[in-house]
Amino acid sequence: MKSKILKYTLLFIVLLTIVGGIYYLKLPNRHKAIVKTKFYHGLGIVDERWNIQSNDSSIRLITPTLVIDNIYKSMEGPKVVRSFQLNDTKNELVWLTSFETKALSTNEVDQLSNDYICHTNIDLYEGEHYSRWQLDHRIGEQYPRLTSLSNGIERYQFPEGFGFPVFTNENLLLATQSLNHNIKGDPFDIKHEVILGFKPHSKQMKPLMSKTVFVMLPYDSETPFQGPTDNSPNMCLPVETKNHSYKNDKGESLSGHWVIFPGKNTYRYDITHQLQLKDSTTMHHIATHLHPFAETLALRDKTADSTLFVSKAENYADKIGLKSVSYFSSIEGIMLYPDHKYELVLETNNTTKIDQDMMASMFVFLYDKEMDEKLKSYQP
Amino acid sequence: MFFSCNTSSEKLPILSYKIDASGQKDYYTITYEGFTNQLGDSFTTEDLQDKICIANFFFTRCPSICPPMRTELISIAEEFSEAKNVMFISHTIDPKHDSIPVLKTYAEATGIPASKWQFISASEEQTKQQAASYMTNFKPNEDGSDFYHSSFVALVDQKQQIRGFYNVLIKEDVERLKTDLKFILN
Repeated sequence: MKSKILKYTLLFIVLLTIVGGIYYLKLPNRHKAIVKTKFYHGLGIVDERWNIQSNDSSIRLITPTLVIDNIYKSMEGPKVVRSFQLNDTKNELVWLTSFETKALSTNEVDQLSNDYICHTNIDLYEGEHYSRWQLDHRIGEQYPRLTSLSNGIERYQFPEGFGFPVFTNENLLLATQSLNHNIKGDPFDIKHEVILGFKPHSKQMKPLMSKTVFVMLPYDSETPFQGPTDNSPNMCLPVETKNHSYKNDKGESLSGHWVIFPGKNTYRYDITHQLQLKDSTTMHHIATHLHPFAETLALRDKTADSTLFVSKAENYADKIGLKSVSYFSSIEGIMLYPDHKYELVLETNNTTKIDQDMMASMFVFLYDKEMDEKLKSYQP
Repeated sequence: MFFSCNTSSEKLPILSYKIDASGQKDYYTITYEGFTNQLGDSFTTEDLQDKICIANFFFTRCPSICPPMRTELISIAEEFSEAKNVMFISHTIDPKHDSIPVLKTYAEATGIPASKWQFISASEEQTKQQAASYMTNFKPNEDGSDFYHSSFVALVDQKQQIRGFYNVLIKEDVERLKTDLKFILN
């Protein structure tokens, strides 16, 4: 009886391993990385702890170990997500003013190439954030992304006198993903270090609000991965249809993460509906997120037929990756108007002989007049 | 000087306040009126007396965040099954579909007793007001397939004051919730 139980148990384990193995092998690279990261952290094979330190002017978060064992293109590498507070024992208003992300060795000291940073996203818990200020109408209005740092733009600070107001015990969400366009061979380990700088509350500070604008391109939802044809020469091929896929008012499918073919191309997308401007306001900061082979991303005022800012991406000549991406920062700012139309214009140049993938976003920081009025009367 | 954070609950500030027009913090407590639970009984502020509550907003047909949230909340409820004054409150945001029998079936499937986990329903307007008290909201998506709603739960102390928000889809936040819950229990 015992041997029968043992036999069937072993058979079950073997079957489970085979089915699980087949399922795993069929997963795309991105999902394999998720499974492997959970496995490594869950079994304690690599360091799964976060190291978080904060003081009165900054918070430093060092991630668990991320294992780089493959080529990981944008949005594919091992990633970790967690929520955090600047200081969960206090309820004080402060101003976020700077953001930085780095790749580190597992000794948490030696800095590695930023080629291993795909992106670092910081999101709000919008309910908690806006409800305190009785700005409930903003909850769920747009994706609550505060900002994003990415390959080529790994640090920046807001112009002097501007910031994003948060309470020290507010929930913020950090998601950081690794990247490896070039290094093949033996696996190696990295960590990410994320530093947010903040200042104590001051009535002289001016609040910024974040708006995410990004290029989306239509694709055929019936045959999403079929290449361009004579009838549809400009059709976009989404990298996948689950993530970064959207529907417009007409029910058409759009993708914010798509395939670019070898050679040069220009993409345009009207972002007026993403900006959701209700009043005229000034734009003081733009952080841009691009993938390798992007050359420029311009923000244009279509109504005035003028270019407001061009973010320039410098690609490495000897490897795949972005050396730098320029950002906009200005105390004076640029006026934006609710009755104007705005667009993003992306120039790409895929210098390889194979298809690559592309995303193009701008995290636009606007003067937040509604919040400023609340802050002026705020009594700590 | 550096200090570590996110590891202890030496102090849990009261979060149930709104900043009023004069810039002052206007504190409030969580109250209930007009809600009915999965057993068809009315659910009122009196039911919160001396209870520590974990509250969320959900709907039974949710195709996205509710199923994994439910799994996590079941696990927490099981872990705190002996703590008689810990109660879970789930507010449906789809009262038209989530009738009392639907809520009852959904509640029974959790395996957690009704005394421990209240699934409650009210009019959409009342539920929206309650969501505002819990510093969140909800709205149907344009294609009607889902609602915008949050994966955060609120921790409410015995005095009906909010003491924390936790994203139960994130492992570290679940651990923080348990730590803070134990802190209030003690």
